[in-house]
This record gives sequence, C-alpha cells and structure tokens, in this order.
Amino acid sequence: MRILAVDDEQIFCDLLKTRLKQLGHTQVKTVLSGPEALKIAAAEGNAVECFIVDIQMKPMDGIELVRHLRAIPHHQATPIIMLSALTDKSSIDSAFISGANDYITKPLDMVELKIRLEMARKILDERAHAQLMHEHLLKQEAILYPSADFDGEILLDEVDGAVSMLSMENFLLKQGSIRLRQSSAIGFHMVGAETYFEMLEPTYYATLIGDIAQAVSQSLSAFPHMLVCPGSGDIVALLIDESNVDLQSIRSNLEHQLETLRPRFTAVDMTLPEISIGEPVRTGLFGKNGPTTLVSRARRAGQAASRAGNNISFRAVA
Amino acid sequence: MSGAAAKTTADQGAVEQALAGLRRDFCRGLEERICRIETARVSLGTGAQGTAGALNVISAEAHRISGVAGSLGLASVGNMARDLETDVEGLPKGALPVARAAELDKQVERLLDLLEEHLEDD
Repeated sequence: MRILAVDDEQIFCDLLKTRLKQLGHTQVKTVLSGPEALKIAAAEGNAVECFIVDIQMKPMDGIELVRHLRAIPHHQATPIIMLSALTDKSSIDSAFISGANDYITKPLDMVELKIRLEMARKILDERAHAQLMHEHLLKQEAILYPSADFDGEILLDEVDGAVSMLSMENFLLKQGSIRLRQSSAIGFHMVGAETYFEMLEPTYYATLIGDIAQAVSQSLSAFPHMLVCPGSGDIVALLIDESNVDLQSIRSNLEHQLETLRPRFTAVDMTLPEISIGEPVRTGLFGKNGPTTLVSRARRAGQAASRAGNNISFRAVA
Repeated sequence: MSGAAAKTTADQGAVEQALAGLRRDFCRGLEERICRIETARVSLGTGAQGTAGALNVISAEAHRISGVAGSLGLASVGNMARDLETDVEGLPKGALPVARAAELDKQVERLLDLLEEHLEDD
C-alpha cells in the first residue's frame, strides 16, 4: 500500500516510517505540512492509496487538509487515518465529519497501527470491488441489461457528511458508551424505493438517492452529523452529541429541502418520492445493543414510519 | 538458527537501531524545546494577553513532546507532557488566579527538570 504520512514533527515522521517498515509497508512518503501533502496528492493522481494525517498541525490543520484531500476527485474515497492525541476528542469528530475513515492515537502503538492499516486495506478492497461493480454495470447498461443490488450500500461521495458504512461503524465502535448515549441516529426511508429502482437505470437510481441524501444532510445542517446509505432506499443520519432532537423541525427543514428538488424532477416528468422519518434511536448505557446496531435500528424505525404512512410527500403542482 | 529466523532477528536489530537513533535525535532537540517552554513560562504572569500567548506555546510544546516521547518509549516524559497539556487546555481564559499560576509554574518546572535529565542522555 502506498502511504503518505503528514506530521509537522520530523522525528515523528521518521518514527512512523520505521514502524510502518516494520509492518511491511515500504512505500511510505512523509511530509511536514498540509500544503506539501496536497501537492503530492494532486500531482501523483491515484498513486497514494492511504493517508495518515496528524490533526494538530500549523498553518493548515489535519481537518482542513482532509477537506482539501476529499475535494480532489481521485481521493474522494482514499482511506484517511488521523493521528491524534487522546486529548483531541472533539477534533476527531470533526475529522470524521470532514471525511476521515479512522484514527490512531499518539503515542503510537504497534498493534493499533497494524489494525488501522488493515482497516484501510479493507476500505481499499471494498472500493476496488465497488469500482469493478460499477464498471460491470456500465457494460451491462450498454447492452440494456440493467442490474444491481437494491439491498447493497450506495456510496455517497459527494454528499455533505456522507461516509461509508464501514467508516460509520468504525466511528461508533470507538465512542465511549456514555458519549454514544448523547448521540442519536435517525432513519429516513424513500417510500416505494424498489419501484424507483426497477424503473430507473442503476446510476440514475443512485443519483436519486444521492439527491435525497443531500436534502437530508442540509436539513440537519444545524447538527454535526454523518450519513450512510445502507441500501433498500434507506438513509441513516448519525447526530453526534445530539440526544434530544426536534423531529418536527427536522421534518419541516427536510420538506423545504425536498421542495427545492422539484424542478429537477418535473423537468423529467417524474413522480417525486415520499420520504418517511423514523423516531430517533439511541444506545442504552447498559443495554445489550452494541453501538453498531444503531444503524440497523434507525433503518427499522425509518421503515416502520413508512409503513405507518408517516411520510413527507411533495405537494401537487398547482 | 534458520535463515528466516536470522533475517527476523536482523530486521528487529535494524528497527531497534533506528529507534535508538531517533531517541538520540529527540534528546538532542530537547534544548530548543526547553528554551521555548522556559521563555513562555516567564510570560505566564504578564497579564491576560501575555498569559494566553504563553499558555498556547506551553500547550503546543507539551502536545508535541507527548506524542513523540511516548512513541519513542520515553513514557514518563510523554505522560507528564500529556498531563500538562490537558491541564493547560482546561484552564479558564484570561489572567490566571495567583494560586493557579503558581501551581502551573511548578508543573512546568517539573517537566523542564525531566526534559533536562534526558538532555543528559544524549
């Protein structure tokens, strides 16, 4: 794996290089600042396969660097592991929201480093598989034989706050139970998603889900949040450090955001989908539910709201 | 010893050697870090603005020392620097109460003493 590590301490860069070499990673480059990293990231195209980024750097900190890296088209999905001190908890949240996939705490621990790099490798493999599937789909579309996995995850690279399931699960697993209890997850469900899936070409269906996810993200802009689209027309938002959410205000924000999509749908003479919003779910302090079940429980809540007919529908065009 | 085992031992030896070199480099660089902290420490009691600037420097230096020292196996230095950073981050903004300033000064001094001990390791 070709790794680019960014830390403003030369000794730490050297140490990281030594440790990575010990783990069998010999293609490691280190730089001392965000701007230097961006130059390499932009110039070398797809050459960097994993970034390791220190959070506390000057003048550009690690969070800003992640934001810039994610804006480079060929690095929208490259695994990014943050390096942080244990004292950086709030920065870690911001890093995840900006697009980081994982983090390692300083002082560096070899076992942790190894596990995190294995996770990065897994993300790379997952992305490569998704890319293969995408290319396969494009070929199939060319011979008018559309097919894709309705239940499979849709990666929403261009939606604000969107992360992969793997990254969200990773984030949830790393939160302490008390802190996790202060966060909540909300499931959104596109009513009749399967019909849209059957009706549309897979790429258009993914675009539709992406548009709705963007509307969901904007309706939650007042809260630090992450989004995933685990499949079957579901979108799950994790509201970090927000346990008491006003569902009514989210609902009215979302109505407003969905309304802005109307021209795009009417232009192609398409019926606008209805969206249901589930009751927020949280983890219990002593409950049996592990942190990662938050996503599945939020999905179920979103689908239950849909069955109950608790949907946001577009108003008919006058 | 088999060929593979001999190679592993040699690799391990090379890693240890590299780490020892990095520890030496770290200790050599301690003089500059000590100077920066010492300069900031002097500004601690010079009004709200001077104190804020000094605390920023102390916190940043402690942060960097804690990350590097801990990772190089100098746990006591790493832990003390981390505790100092945590305490500085938890301080209220503005001028420090006299008792708190004196307490912090002692804490900084303890870290400086420890750093100076390692300076002699070089």
